Amino acid sequence: MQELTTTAAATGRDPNETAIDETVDAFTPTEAWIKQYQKQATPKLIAGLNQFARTRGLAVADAGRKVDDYYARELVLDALGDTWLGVVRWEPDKCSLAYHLVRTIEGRADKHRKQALARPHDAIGDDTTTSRIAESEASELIGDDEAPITRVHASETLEHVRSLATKDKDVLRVIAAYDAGCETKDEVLAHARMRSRTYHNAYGRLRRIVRQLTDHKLAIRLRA
Amino acid sequence: MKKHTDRDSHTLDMITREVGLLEVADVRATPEDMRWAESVAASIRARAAEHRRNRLPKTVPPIKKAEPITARLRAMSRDVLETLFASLVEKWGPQAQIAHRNLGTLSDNDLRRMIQTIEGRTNKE
Repeated sequence: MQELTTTAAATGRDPNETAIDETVDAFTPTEAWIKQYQKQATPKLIAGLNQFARTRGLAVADAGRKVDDYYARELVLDALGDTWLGVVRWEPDKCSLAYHLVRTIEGRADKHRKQALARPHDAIGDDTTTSRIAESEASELIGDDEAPITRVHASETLEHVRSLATKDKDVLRVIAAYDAGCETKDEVLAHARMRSRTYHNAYGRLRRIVRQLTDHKLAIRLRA
Repeated sequence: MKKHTDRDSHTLDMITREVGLLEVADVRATPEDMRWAESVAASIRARAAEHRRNRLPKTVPPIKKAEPITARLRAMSRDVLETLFASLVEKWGPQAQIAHRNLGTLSDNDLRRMIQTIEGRTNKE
């Protein structure tokens, strides 16, 4: 008997995708479910989710994937649509729609980030630093798998954040706490010896900096 | 606290996550993004309405016309009708549940129709 050959790694296909599709039972929303979905899916929530997706898109872009405003909107639309279809199950009595959608968008953005890191790609004609390098070195790269391709990394983005927050000691303390490995707010507060109020104020300013970078990175560029 | 192999990725991951959650909790969208969000919400409402329409039965059961009031009841005056109604209520007790106790709000024909319905149902039983 012939052995099954797994080609997922070579082709970039998600090996679990087919299995996931097969296990999805037919989902028929009840009237109570529809009422909750409709009530909670407000324009305000959708706009907030879009901003969440844009911010998380920054991390995806730094992994090398081409990301723009349409990418963020697609993440939101897919999460809403897949919830409606039951591809991702939401139980209104267990959590809010906002929480469910945030988790869905986050999970998918993380998956894209990991995929981009595993399979780096620089498209010629994107008018980015990496694509210009790719264009200039294209002839040398052909047939040479070992050649290093310079990509925009998280470190560059963080340098931008630090340079924009150059005089803001509290923001820099929060970043330093994450650098030290902190993962929760409590850990940051303990590490940076910071009060909760100072932390929230710092995040308000950090938000403006991140939004500035996101607006720049996700701006939809016109193609020739 | 964990020691991360890729420190910068971890830091950026934490910052974008926390800032992202702040964006959901305290929405500050551009007018263009708000218009887009409103159009998405409208499409959700439309999809729900379509789903509800699809759940309705495809064939509506035929509307049953009310039978004409019998000549016997038509010949009765208001006083006779009210007496007859009172006797029917007394006879059937809680088995006949009637929404109209204040007969003053009913026309003569309404009263005749109600009596005919009670008689029709009770005769069947």
